[in-house]
Amino acid sequence: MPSHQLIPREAPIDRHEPPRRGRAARRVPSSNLPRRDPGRGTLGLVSAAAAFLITLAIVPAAPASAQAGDSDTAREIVQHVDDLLRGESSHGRVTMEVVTDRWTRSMEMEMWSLGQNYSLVRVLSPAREAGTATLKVERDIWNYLPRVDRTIRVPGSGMGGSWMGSHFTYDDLVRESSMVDDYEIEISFEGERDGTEIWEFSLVPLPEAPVVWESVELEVRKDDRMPIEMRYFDDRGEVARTMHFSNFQTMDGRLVPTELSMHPEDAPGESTTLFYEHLEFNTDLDASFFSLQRLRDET
Amino acid sequence: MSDRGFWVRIGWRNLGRHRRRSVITAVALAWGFAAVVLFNGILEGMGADFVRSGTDLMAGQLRIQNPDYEPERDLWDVIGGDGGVPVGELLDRVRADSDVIGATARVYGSGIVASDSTSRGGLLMGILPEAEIQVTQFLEGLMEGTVPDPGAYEVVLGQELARQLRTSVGEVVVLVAPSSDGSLGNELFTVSGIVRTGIPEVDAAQVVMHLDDLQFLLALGPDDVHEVAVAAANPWDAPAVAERLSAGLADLGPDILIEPWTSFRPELVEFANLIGGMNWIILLVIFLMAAFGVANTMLMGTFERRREFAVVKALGMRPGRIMAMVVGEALVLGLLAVAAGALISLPLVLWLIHYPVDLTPIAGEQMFMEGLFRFVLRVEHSWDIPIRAAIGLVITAVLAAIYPALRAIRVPAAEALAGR
Repeated sequence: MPSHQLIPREAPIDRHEPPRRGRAARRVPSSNLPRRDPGRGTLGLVSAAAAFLITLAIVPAAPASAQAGDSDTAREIVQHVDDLLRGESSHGRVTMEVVTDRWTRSMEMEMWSLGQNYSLVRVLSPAREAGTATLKVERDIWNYLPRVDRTIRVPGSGMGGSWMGSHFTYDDLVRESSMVDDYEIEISFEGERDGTEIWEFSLVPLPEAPVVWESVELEVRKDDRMPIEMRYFDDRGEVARTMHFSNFQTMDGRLVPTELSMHPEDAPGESTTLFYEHLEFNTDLDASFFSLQRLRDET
Repeated sequence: MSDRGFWVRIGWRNLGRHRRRSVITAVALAWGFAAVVLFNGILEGMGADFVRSGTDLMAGQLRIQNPDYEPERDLWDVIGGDGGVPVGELLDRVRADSDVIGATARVYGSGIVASDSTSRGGLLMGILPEAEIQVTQFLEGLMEGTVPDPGAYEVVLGQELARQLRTSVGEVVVLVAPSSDGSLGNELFTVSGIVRTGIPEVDAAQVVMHLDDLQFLLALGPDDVHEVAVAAANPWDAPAVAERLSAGLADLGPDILIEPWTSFRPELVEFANLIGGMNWIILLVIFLMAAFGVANTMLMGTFERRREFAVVKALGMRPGRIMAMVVGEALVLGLLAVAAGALISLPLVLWLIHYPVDLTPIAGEQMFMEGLFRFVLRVEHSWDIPIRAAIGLVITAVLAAIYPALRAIRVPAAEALAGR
């Protein structure tokens, strides 16, 4: 679904932004989006990453042996990366580690996803927050809070808030865009960098695309077409956040990056990292799984 | 008898020679005086109201914060830095200042407030209700219910927020807020009251609870507060109070910044200055008109008395004395006018000081410079204005008499005596 048709429902009313760890979350709005909170738009890839890769269901990855031949167009390679972190259904466990100037915390979570539009994440530990769960259905997000035994829809004016204390906001979870459909793609560099043969793609959003970034750079290594790094540029042309992909492993038969780490540029030393411990793909989930009832239930 | 008193007496007598003209001129001057006093007073009143409405509603005349708190308002930028500050002692020391009439501590946060049916973003404000009403007025907008009790997990919601949440006094809402340790604070609260400040942004988002409860929700300690708001008896004393407090609170810890409203609301200062400037313009315009009135009267007087001046000149009176005679007359006229003006303006001023005319039904409440301004026609109680007007009037009268006096000095004695 083209997400730019789904504008946040409520105008933001508050001057004060919800406190959040990442200063990344505080930059000046970079576009005419109706939200005051800039910063994070997402590419499909990041939304995948951001959305704890709930959406990290991996479409049959190119066989690891597949070499990107010269005949591959930039578009095809980016399509591959985009698909890598999207796909049909998935189920997995991930540990999210958030490092800020003030504290470091680690949460273990279980997650389910179906396409881009449905995902469910439940906190397993620490015990104090176990059972806390987030459900995303299309553009809506609900939180279940076991302590007060309530389910709360995140309102439009709360979408700029931090998700579970991470450097991702709720907006990151719902904003979807497709690298292939929403960006002008060209190869800006091809060759060896830091000892690895890579492509560097420059992605510039199309005028109508629901993207808050001025541009995005994507580095993909040539030998297995795995993404290595994405850099997001704000409207001043400066890097606002960087996403690193590493620790590539085969899970459920697919090679995937199992470590994704996001670094907001204006908070040096801070980061949110996702470690995938277990992933399975094409599970038999359908949309009815992603219900408010499921959000509350221990599954 | 002093020389000066003599010329005043002569002036008085000369005025008596043409009583009707003198009275008319004096009355015109008196009206000028009354107009200046009244307009200046009303403008000062408006200026004071702007300053008050810009500070009294929520801000206070001084605020104490961590210097890093604004503008990002990070949760952990509390007064005193990471260690916090002994809040009770801080408040006691602030209140001990003789120009301070109240001080209160606050914690701010933001999060989601959810009723059974829906949810909204909320600006969370933790207050000490009893101290808060000494400093600000927004709790006077409590439409129903009561202020939140400590430890009772009660909240007061902005009117529009409560309407949007479809909740009311006695019902339960959930507050969810990212807390200072990175966890997601969440707690059930009972709606204890609904408040209307008249400021749309506030009424649609404000969630007010007891300081202790918000500290708990946000995982802050009892020494962690974001702001201390202070009320000063006279808003214009705030900068001096800030300086005294800065010295007096320095030993409580680092990261304590005390600012008067003049620095965190500089636009209000500009507005007050603008009003001051307008007052001078009014003074100038009215007294310029008065000056021509006096000059005309005195000029006519000197023309009529050409022969008189010729006689005293012929008898050897020095020009300075002639000048003193004419100017003395104007001085007496001015003093008479001040007395008459005081008589005219006093009842009006007293009435507007004690019975301000509320123009709100006509003008409505206006949002102005982030304050809610009510158009109330009243006069700011001040001796400055009448004293300034009186001095201005007398000076005007005297200056206006200088030209006629010079004419009197230059009367050619021989020709005037010869009747030519």
